[in-house]
Amino acid sequence: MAIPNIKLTSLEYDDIYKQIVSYISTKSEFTDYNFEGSALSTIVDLLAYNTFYQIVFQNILVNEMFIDSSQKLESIISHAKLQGYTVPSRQSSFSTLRLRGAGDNGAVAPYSRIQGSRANGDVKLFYTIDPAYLESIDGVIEATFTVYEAKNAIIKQLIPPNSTKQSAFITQVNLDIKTLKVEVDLEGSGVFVEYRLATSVEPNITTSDNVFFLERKLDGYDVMFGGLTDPLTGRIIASAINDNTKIRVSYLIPSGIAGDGYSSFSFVGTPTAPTGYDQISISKSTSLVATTGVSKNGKNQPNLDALKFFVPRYFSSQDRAITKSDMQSILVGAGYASASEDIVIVGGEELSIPTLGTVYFEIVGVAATEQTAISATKLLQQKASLGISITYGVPI
Amino acid sequence: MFFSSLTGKGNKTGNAYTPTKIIGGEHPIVSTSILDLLEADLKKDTPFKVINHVPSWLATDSKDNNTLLVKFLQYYYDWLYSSKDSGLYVDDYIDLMDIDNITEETKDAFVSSFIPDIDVDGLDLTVEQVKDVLRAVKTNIFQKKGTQEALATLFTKIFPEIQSVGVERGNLEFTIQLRIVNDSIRNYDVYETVYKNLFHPVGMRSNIQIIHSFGSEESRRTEDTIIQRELSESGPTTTNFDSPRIGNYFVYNMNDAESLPAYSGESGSTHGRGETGASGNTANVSNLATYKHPNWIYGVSDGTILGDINIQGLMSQPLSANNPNLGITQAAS
Repeated sequence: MAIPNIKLTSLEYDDIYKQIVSYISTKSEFTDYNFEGSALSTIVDLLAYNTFYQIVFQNILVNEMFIDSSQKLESIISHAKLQGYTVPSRQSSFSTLRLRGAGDNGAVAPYSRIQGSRANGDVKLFYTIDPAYLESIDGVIEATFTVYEAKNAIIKQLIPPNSTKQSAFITQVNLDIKTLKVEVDLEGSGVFVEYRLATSVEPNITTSDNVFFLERKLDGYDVMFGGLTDPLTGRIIASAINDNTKIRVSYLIPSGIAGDGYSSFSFVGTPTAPTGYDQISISKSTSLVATTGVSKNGKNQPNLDALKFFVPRYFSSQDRAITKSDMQSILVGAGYASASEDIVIVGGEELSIPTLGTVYFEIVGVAATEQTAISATKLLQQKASLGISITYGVPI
Repeated sequence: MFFSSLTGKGNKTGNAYTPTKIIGGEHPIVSTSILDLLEADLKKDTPFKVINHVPSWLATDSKDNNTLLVKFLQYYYDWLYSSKDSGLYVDDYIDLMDIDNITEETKDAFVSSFIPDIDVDGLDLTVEQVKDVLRAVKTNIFQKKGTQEALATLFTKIFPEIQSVGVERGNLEFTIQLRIVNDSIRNYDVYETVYKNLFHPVGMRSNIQIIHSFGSEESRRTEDTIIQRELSESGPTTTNFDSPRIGNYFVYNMNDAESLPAYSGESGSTHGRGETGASGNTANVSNLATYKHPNWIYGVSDGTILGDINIQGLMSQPLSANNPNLGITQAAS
């Protein structure tokens, strides 16, 4: 429930006027004055207006100080930072594809390009961000993978490290953070290791963990590394980068909502294969079908109300999936949904024939066979209590 | 014009002018010099000194008591900078985000920004409660979510009427017992909503049981429940105890009751422990005789069966004047 705006004091002009008159008229020099007189009245009018504007400014300031009453995205980004939540910017529209008739083995490398078309002839480019492998499922050789729409794909771009600040800056504010990959070569030896996005509410991160934190700025994102000391515990968080460290990032810059509605997909050329795998073969019998209908969930900017709802709940979850609210905020925080209405969670205890120890969930519009459903299930299972089983799909 | 009379009229470009009139000039109070006013301001720690922000000719006029405008404006700024009077917050704004400075106006903002799940109808927290909960919320509530400790911390902090929180555990299900004293109990939905919003582990079955009572009776019940819970967790359960149907003399050795007159109720069979009742009666575990005890004051009638007595009840029998063991002399063997 959103609170009404904070009002430290009345914003009624007449009240302000009366208060000024009331205060000054108690002073002995002015007890005899007629404040309704034209000259004095004019001065008090001016002072009341001056006060009014100051109070308006004050109320704006105070309201921006709390996430629930903030009106500006910049303020919410700052509040979210305080609670360990990275506010996403533009988000890619995505679709799950099933590839068949592309050979008996082989794989598709990350950042392979796929063309999506609409019935009206519009075309957009979509990209894989993870490798996809052909495998036999019920006797059929196929691969299922998710593709993300993007205007630009930035692949393995080197960004300079700042060892003093233990960070590196990505000068792109419109990237989709769920497509961001960070690889680090700590000593500049040429061996890059992929780092995982961590959050400040995540407990027990040690110096041996290969993690990075992400902080949204007005003009881009700060990729923060370890070597920083927790002022509360004195503990050094994760491993530090140095001047020799090489950092490379890959991410997609999406079109946002304009990427929704594409349904006809085909590879642009023959995609390369990941190291150690064969290239797939494209022929007339190759089919690439969207198993979930048209591409969807593209966002131009985050919904402010959704942020106000989820940021404090994300903090409340402390990265653990215990309550329904925890699960919703973890899924939204990980980019699987953007509003609580997009997620349905039913505990086994709520069923007519209870199945205690099981939690059923569903992301609206996402089928159980989709990669999104599989990885979301895995995510919740990792963060749920022992003894609780997470199942995708809500019993009817 | 009031303005001109306050400021005085004269040649503002020249070094000297003659004010036409000084409003209130004859009033003794107006003779207060601006320096006195400033001194008073210093005492009040007024942060804004009007005299420093007006043209020098006006400042001079004010010092010479030729105008009240500066004083008038100073009063205005005194009012403006007094949060108490104007309501305008003029201290460091960031202080408003300090938990110690939560006010009635900002407490809801704190709750909505950090613990929105307790923002439910029927629960109106005081400023002090909000401060208290916020101090504990991360380390003692959120990070311990799912534990009895976190549950107890939250409930006792936001519901002052809750004396203690107990949990009866089962396999993937449990009952939360909220022990409430005095008459300030709320609607059950309030407790349940807060619990479900913030704590209910989805996938498990739970229910909330409210134990509501008054005064010292409650203390004794709480103690009994604690004993029972401890026994169930770390020792024999209540079903492992002997719960024989006994007469009131059975708390001591049968042979000690020699002087007590027996009443009807005995069956004549041999007691399980092989003892024979005084006065030649043998006792039956299912229907023991009742004796009129000299110090029994709990309303037991002669010759009646006491019925089942939970032997744990005897564990806490106080050694007071009401103790039925008092006054019994051991019989000669």
